Amino acid sequence: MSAPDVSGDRVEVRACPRGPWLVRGATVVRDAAGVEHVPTRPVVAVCRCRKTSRGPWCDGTHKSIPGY
Amino acid sequence: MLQFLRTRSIYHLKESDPQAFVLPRLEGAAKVALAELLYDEFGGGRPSQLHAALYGDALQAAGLDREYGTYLDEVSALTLAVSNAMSLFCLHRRLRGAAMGHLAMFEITSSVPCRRIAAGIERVGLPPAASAYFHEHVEADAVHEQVAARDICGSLVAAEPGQRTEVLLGAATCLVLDDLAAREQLGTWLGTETAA
Repeated sequence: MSAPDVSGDRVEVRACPRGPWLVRGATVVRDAAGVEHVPTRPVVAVCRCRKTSRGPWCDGTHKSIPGY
Repeated sequence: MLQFLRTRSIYHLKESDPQAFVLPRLEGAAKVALAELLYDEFGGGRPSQLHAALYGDALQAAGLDREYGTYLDEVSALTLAVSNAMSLFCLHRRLRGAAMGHLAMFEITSSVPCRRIAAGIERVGLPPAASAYFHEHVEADAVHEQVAARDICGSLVAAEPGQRTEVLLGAATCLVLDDLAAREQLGTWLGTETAA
């Protein structure tokens, strides 16, 4: 599970156990297709289970994945 | 659906106001994390994104009244209890751990249901502004649950281990009251309502 593709001056990325990447300070987050998304909040949750319906953002779907 | 939106107006039109009272009652990392969460709840510097106002927009789009208190007299005691528990915890320094435990559990149980509620609103043909509030909360609360559980409650308990039981009290209260209120609501819709 590689780290999310993000840009920003002071980016902090943290993997939440059995959850998403928590990203602070990113100005741009790129999804799997390389499409750029601009965060609208100071901290964002980026999908780590690859099952979100709202990529690149976490939508809580990981909770439904057995064993994740 | 309209009854559901009216019931939810009791809290959502005052969204995050109770928790704002807790900010001066926290220190260090927990305080920083709560401020970060509240900044998002209060629009992130953009008045149009104030979550309570987004809910007002949703009510209006559904043809309902966005003024606070309009539907107060029609909601049940359990609906009021859900909201009053937050106020009780948030307005007392000694219960600040419970306030944050409640907040964390509220956020943890929000993202996935909000996705389903938004789909339900669209299924009955209400305009996009009626579901926008819930779409916003799918992404917002996926963030907030991590911030609330780890950075607020985790930091609070790390700094003050005695707050652990308070945090758990708040989390359990959230689950118990939400469960009772949901069962009552479903009973009303399904015609199987029993005395709570």
